[in-house]
Amino acid sequence: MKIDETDRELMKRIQKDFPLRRRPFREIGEELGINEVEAIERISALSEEGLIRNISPKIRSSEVGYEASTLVAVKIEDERIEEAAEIINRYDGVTHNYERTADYNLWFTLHAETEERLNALIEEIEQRIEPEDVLNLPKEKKYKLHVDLDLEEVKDG
Amino acid sequence: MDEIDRDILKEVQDGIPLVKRPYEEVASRLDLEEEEVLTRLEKLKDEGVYRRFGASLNHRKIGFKANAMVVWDIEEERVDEAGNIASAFEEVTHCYRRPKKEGKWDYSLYTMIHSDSKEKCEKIAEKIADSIGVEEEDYQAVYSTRELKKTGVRI
Repeated sequence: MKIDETDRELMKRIQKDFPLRRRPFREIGEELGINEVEAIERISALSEEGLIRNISPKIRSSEVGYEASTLVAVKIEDERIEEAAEIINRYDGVTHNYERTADYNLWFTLHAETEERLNALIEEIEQRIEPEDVLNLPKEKKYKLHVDLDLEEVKDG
Repeated sequence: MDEIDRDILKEVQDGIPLVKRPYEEVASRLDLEEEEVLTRLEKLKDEGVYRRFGASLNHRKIGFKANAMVVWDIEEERVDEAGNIASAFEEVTHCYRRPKKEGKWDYSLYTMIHSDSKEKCEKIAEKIADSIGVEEEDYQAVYSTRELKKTGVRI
């Protein structure tokens, strides 16, 4: 799919915030000089192509009772990654899961109500996927967190 | 948050419908008025229940830069200093300290580097290595090859 300047502007705009108004697409469209129907059509096309995942509230983890979180690194045979990911992804507390180019080739983030629950979940997952090894890597200190919402650098295609 | 707030969040957390009046559609599914859904979503935002209401994009599909997780093996007493040095690079978007797992995974500093390409990410990592004063064998750039799950926190 070839995305044009308007698509880029549109994504940039609705990533920042989406109006909580009766006719949000009309308002977004007005800002960008397109009509409501075109705004909906463009956003729908970008969604179908998977460039836009969804338009939704980004809920804070503490609001749903998650007080503990960690990053877990798993070392597992390449051919068992998908099977393991399927098991891991079924947990609601798992928000990100990536295959990575390292010895430890599967990395996921896990949230839980408490530290104890977090450790119990890791143990349970370990028993279910039977990996070569698992590392629990909780954040000890944050030096920088800059979520880049700027899409200036978005390229074609 | 009451039961209705939770019902509304559950209804919209995976995305609002892409129709002219999305909140009316959400309201009708819950047997509520459009106005009430809007008022409650505003209130939840003011209360900080969610950070922003907006689009989640798939940066990888859009062709948004390369993203390297560079991990560093730093002596215990220099981790903070190294973390501060790395954080000063604008291409570094996240920088965290995590426990070193001696003999298995000897890295305690994690930096996410965003740039136009893998090559550029590696150039930046080299610069950071020079600034911190670590050797090539003391760090590695790790890339994600497949996204197996990416979602927000769900209620």
